[in-house]
Order: sequence, then structure tokens, then C-alpha cells
Amino acid sequence: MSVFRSGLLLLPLILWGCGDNPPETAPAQPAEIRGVVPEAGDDPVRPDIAPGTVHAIEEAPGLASLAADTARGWTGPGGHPFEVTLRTPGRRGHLSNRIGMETFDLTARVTNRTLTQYPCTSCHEGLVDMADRVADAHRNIQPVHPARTGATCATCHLPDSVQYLRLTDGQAVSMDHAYQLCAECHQGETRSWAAGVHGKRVEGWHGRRVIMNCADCHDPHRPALESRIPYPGPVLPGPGGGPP
Amino acid sequence: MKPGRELTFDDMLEYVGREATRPPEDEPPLPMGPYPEGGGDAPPTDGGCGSGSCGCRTPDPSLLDKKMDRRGALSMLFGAAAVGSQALSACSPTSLASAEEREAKLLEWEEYFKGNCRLMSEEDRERTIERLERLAKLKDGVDVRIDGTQAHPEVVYGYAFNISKCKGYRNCVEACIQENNLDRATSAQYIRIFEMDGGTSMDDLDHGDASYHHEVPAEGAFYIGTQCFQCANPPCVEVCPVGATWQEPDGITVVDYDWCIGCRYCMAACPYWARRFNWGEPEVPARELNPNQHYLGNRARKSGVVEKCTFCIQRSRKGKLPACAEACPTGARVFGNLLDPDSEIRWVLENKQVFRLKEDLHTEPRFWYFLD
Repeated sequence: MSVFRSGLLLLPLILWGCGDNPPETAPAQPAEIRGVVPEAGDDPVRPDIAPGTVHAIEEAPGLASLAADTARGWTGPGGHPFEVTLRTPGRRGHLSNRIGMETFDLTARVTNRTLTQYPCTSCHEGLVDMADRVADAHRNIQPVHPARTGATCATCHLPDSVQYLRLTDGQAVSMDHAYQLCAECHQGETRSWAAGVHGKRVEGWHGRRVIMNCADCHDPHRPALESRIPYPGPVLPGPGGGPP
Repeated sequence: MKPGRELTFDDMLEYVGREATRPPEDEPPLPMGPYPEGGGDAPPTDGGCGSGSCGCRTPDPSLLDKKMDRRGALSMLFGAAAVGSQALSACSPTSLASAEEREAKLLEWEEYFKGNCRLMSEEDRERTIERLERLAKLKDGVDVRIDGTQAHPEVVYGYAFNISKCKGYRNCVEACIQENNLDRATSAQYIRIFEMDGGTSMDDLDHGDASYHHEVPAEGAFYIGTQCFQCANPPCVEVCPVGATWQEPDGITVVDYDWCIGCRYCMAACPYWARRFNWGEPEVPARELNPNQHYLGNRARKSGVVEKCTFCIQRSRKGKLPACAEACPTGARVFGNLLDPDSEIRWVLENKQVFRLKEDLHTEPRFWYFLD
């Protein structure tokens, strides 16, 4: 199943055979994350369409309120930069029933489910001893992904600054830019993701290109999409679904 | 025709006959019949019979001397007759017809005589949209916004479907029903998701099951979705005897619901089962109605007309994704502008192995399938 191939390499916060070696190099201080407010007429994808002309296509209204940041180290089709959605707790899920409405919000199915305890600093201060099994606070995490890969918490999380993720070179990365961590193993998927084939572009096909983060669809600790009962299908005459 | 006299059927015949011999004019058609101004919140007529403002009065006969086409003349004459009869009943003390009902009747008359969408002037199109919005308010009590956005000259829409991503959840179907105001009574659906056994040829939909209902994804199965493919060479358009369906410059094949006669030739001609017929008036609960509509898209359909997927024309022409692509939780759907070399859909066509259904028919669908 492709879901297993497309799994991500974010590892659990609970202790799972925890490594006891903190990164040797001091982590670089991650840049401050800010939402990008679009400027009127700023269209990096189609600069040839002048804003305000009769034929200009309107930008999707939801984008203005959507927190996003430019993806670092990745470009989309044509070498254009693109933006990734940031975690915005409290937003409605993208399977909302108000799918056709102008006030449609989306982002981060995972946010409301597994990042309810974010920010980590509300409990953790300073160095977190990952050898100490304190999994009670993170019982909602199912460590399927680390179990399959043999990773530990400290493979992906910084013990002295659990707010951040840790790349293999010890560099700290914000959870909003988790794709940088995922890309270290899942290079093919990330390349497809940057090109727009894996994952989802949000709001519109035109204008600002904002795509969803890896962890917006995949639970990093249990990346496979779940099986469930589908929405009811059509009532069709005859077996096999003949003509309507 | 003398002013101040009641219109008779002979008057109409005389007028229509005179109009028919008149050489064609280049001028745009005149406004059709009396029309309430300012959104029509005030009833078209008020005051009692004989007060001069009562609807029983015939319209200003000088209108009849102006040049207009046959359709406009018919509309005005029959519209006047309709108003007259309605107003007569309104004047009688036993009448229950409210001002709203009279206004709705009048608007329906004017709607009945409007032309094909492609032949309308800009002004005509605005007026019919106004009428439809007002009618929705009067008859169903809903505030809808009907959009008339034209095709963008630099855009041709294309769609790609990733077979290896689709899990068969049918979130696209649900979103489509809500977005396009599909009939809830008959469970109309534009999108079909076929469950195929592993090892089946991917384009052999005859062996697929579109009405599966069990937990998905099923072991060993894969899923492939169909809808209208917006063919570049659409057979459905070829066979329409009245020109009620056509391909827009941006590649979307649309239906003029007010021009369709319901012969269903297009349904027989479509090799992809993409069109749906309204056997009755579509039923949509008012609280679930999507008020953001397009004249050629998800506005209210009537009984006896054909409808189809339009790539959510009311959304895509405003730069948004179709509802199915937006709702897909697996990212199996890629939508974009085929004329933009930097678009995602072009990346798929250039970097993935793609195929289309029934390519030997030369319908040239703008809907491609691919695998990871």
C-alpha cells in the first residue's frame, strides 16, 4: 500500500527505547515563524496576469487568513518557491460540511488531535530526560512509525528543546517545517510533494501556492491513513454499477 | 392600436404579424416587459383598482411602437396579459394572491421567453441573473448569488487522478453533492468511484463496482474515479439538437438549463456516463443549499433537464479548486491550468505516465489517470 511508502519520519514524543545521547553540536536557533500576509497583486505563479484587469482571476478568499510560510530548500514546478501551511490550532478540519462556503477554513487534521499539548514548553522546561519514561502524558501517541523504523524519540525530537525537531546533522527545525525532517528519508515523496503531486494544494489552483504540510494529513507517529466506512455511493441499476 | 383600450388576442396576432415582416435590426433588444426596480422589494403594483397604479391597467401602448424582436414582443404581450389576469384576481376581494406571488408569476413569464445563454447580450444576462436571484428569494426564501463569470482567455482546465492514492472514501462525492446542490431525493452524484480488484486492467470499468459499501480501502483493491472529463472533442455537444450544451473557451462543457429540452441524446452519446437527468425537480434542503452559484453551474435546475459536472465552474473560474479536489483527504486529485507550463497538472503530464479512458474514441478527455 502506498500509504506505508508515503509515511513520514517524525518520531514520537513518548519514550520508545529512548536514546540517551543528546546532539553533540549546539542546535542552531530556528528562525521565527510568521504567517505571510499576501500583498494585493502579488502573484508569483502568474506574474503575466496583471491584477485588477477584467480577466484577472480572484484569489481565493480564504488565503488571506491562512497562516503559511515559504518552504525552505524546496521549489515547485518551474523552480518557483511555494508556501506550506502552518499549524493553526482551532481551525476547522478540511472535511468540514461547509465545504462549498466562502468562509471555508482548513488545515491540519492532525493539529487538533495530536498537537493538543502544544506548545511543549507549557510542561517541559529545559532539558527533557528522554530516558525517563513519562509516557502517561502522551498516551494518545501510537508509535507505529518508530516501531517499524527502529527509531527513538531523540532521533527526531530535540531533548533540550522539545519544541523543535532534530535533523540528522543536529540542526533544530520548527514543527511547522517538519517536511525538512521527513525529506531526510522520504526523498521521493517530498519531491512529489514539492511538485504538487503528493499532498494537497489548499484553496486555489491559481495565485499563491500554499500546500499542506506532511503532518497535516499524516499522523507522524502513525502515518498510514486509516480505513473507514465511505460516504454512501449511488443507487445503480444492475450489478457492477451500470449506466446511471 | 389605440391607447387606453384593453389588449385582445387579435391585437397580439396583429402585432406579431407586423413584427415578423420587419427587417432585422442591429440594435440590442429592448428591455422586456415591466420589471420591478431596486431588487423588487416593493410589490409591482399597489393601490386599488381604478387608482391608476393598479396592475389591471394595460401597459403603456407606446411601448408597442418601439422596435423589438419577435421573442421580446411575445414576452411583453403575454407578460402583460399575465399581469392583467393576476391583477384582476388581486382586485377581487376573495383573492389570496399576494404581491410576491404576482411578482413571481411575472418573473417566471419573463424567464420563459429569454433566449439561449450564448446569444444573450451582457445586459440580458445580468437581467436574467437578477430575475433568478429574485425568484429564488420569492419562491424558496433563499438568498442566492448567481455568478456570470466568463472564461479566462489564458486558461484551459485539466484534471489528473492518482489511482495509487485514492482510498475510496468518497469524500469527493459528498463535497460534490453539497457544492453543486445535487438532488437529495434521487441521490444524484456526478462522481463515480469504482472499486477494482487488484490485477484488473485499470481501464476495465465494466468489472468495477461503483456501489460498494464496506470499510475502505479493501484488501487488494484499488479505486478509480470518473466524472465528466470535459472532452476536447465532446460527443455530447455534437448530438444536442437544440444547442443547449456547448464547450466553453476554457474547456468546460456546460448546459443551459433553460434551453435544454430533455431529449437525453447527450446522455446516450457520452461514453463515460457523465451526465445526469432530472426526472423531477431537484430537492435540496434550504439549510444545505449552496448560495454561491453560477449561471452555467450549480444554480437551481428544473425537472426534465440534463446536468453534469462542470469542474465546479463557480469555484474554478474564481481561482479556487473544484470541491472534489479540495475535499479529497488523500491528495489523489490534481487540478490546474493546462496552458500554464509551471502548473502542477503540467508537471504530472510531463513527469508521470498518464492514460485516459477510451482513448480510441478520440474524445480527447482533459482528465488523466496516473500512478505514483
